Amino acid sequence: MRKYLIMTVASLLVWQLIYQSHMVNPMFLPEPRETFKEAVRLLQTGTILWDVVYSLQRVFIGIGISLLFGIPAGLLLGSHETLFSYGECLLDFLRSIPPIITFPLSLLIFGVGDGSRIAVIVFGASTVMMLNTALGVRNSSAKRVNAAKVMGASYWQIFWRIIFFEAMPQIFIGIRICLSMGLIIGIVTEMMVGAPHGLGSRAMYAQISYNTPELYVTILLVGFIGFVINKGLVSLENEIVHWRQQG
Amino acid sequence: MNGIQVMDITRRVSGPSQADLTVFEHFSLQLFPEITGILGPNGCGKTTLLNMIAGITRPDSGQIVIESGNRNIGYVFQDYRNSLFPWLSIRDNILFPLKIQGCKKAEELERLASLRRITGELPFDLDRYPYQLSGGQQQYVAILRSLIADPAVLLLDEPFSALDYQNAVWLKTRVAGILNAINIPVVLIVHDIDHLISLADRILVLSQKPTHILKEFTVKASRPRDKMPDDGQCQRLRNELFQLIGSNWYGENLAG
Repeated sequence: MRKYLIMTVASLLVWQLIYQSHMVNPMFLPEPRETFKEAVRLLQTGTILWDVVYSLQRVFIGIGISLLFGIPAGLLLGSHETLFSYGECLLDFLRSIPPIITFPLSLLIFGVGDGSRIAVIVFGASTVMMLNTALGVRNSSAKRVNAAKVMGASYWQIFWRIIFFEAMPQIFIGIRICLSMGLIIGIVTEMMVGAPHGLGSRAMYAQISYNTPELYVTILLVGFIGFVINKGLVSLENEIVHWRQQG
Repeated sequence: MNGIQVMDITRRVSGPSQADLTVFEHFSLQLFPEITGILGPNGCGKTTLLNMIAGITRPDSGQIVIESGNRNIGYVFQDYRNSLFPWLSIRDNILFPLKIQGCKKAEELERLASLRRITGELPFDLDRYPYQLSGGQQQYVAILRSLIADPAVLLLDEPFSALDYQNAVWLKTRVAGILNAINIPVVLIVHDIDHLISLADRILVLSQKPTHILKEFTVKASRPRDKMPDDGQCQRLRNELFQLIGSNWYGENLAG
């Protein structure tokens, strides 16, 4: 905690020094104090909090669908050699497509509402989730599976009591990647077209109205949200997949 | 008789040049309720033999018959790290064979209590996780897990070789106590001749591939033997084993 505090204070000092040196036009880099005042104003009016809610709602719905679809599909894919050999090339191809480029197609299919944004998140995140889960299954220890077989475990007992747990560390890696990706896709699609609410559209409106303190507040808030989500997931992962860091 | 009959088995595996290598050809072996130590050169198929007894792999021909009606097999792998389940507590690891058989809680507790009667007080907290124990203790947990379901045979595949000296000595003492208290066929693969003499009742020395039994030795010293018995008979056996291994595996005399 201390190091975070030190780094925050140091970053603010550097920011203040750059501002005072007039190296950067104040139009592009407002004073930290001015940005802080803007943050307080936005929080007091509450509008930015609603944008946070709208943005996170899209991200969590999109990621939720991706997990519901990606984890079972990855478990299936990882446990069948032939299926994996065919599925892997398709997944490798699909994840090579930047998800954001499918947004125009998504707009055509789902319209300008939230559905199109969520669909892009699902497209990007579910392929990552599927591949990570499948890799987790495939990296299962053959020794543990053999040990369970010798004990008389059935196929499903081995699957749910061994392979699923073996895949869990990799599933968590997939979830972390998906959440970062989902946040990026969610914000970017809000910036593009037709989103009345959300942090992406707020950033665009702030840019159009040359309100750089608000733009900075929005950027820093998105960074903070991403940071908190990631740290929260790491803590959850350490709690649930406690054996991951075994010596 | 609650023994194991390995009858006329043949087993081939794919070699490095894709040509089949014959590991066993018409290999037979009878295992009795005693500790059978197996000594063989690297790659002669010791682990393959245990895998076939355990049913993990099948022989190409021949059969393995477990004479008792009990189908439970206790198998302890060399690599304890990858054979224990790190997401389960020590207690759940030990009870795992019973859980997959759908045993009731009361039966699980009863089996654990009877296991404790053999082992004495366990030197660790059962609510901890495998990675919180030393290597020797983890392998000990693997041995306890292999015994909890009252197996018809206990297979120990180099249980000490992944451990440092201190842990290996600690575990060997524990294993000696357990083996003394159970009366089932035990197959023990170890590379250390002293460990073998101090633990086994019968020692089989295997040849290079295709594998056959070069010679069979009986260790007559009384048990329990928590270290190699310090008598002339065991020393003679030790020399004889070194001579046999040297001349057959390496083509030289290794006896000191």
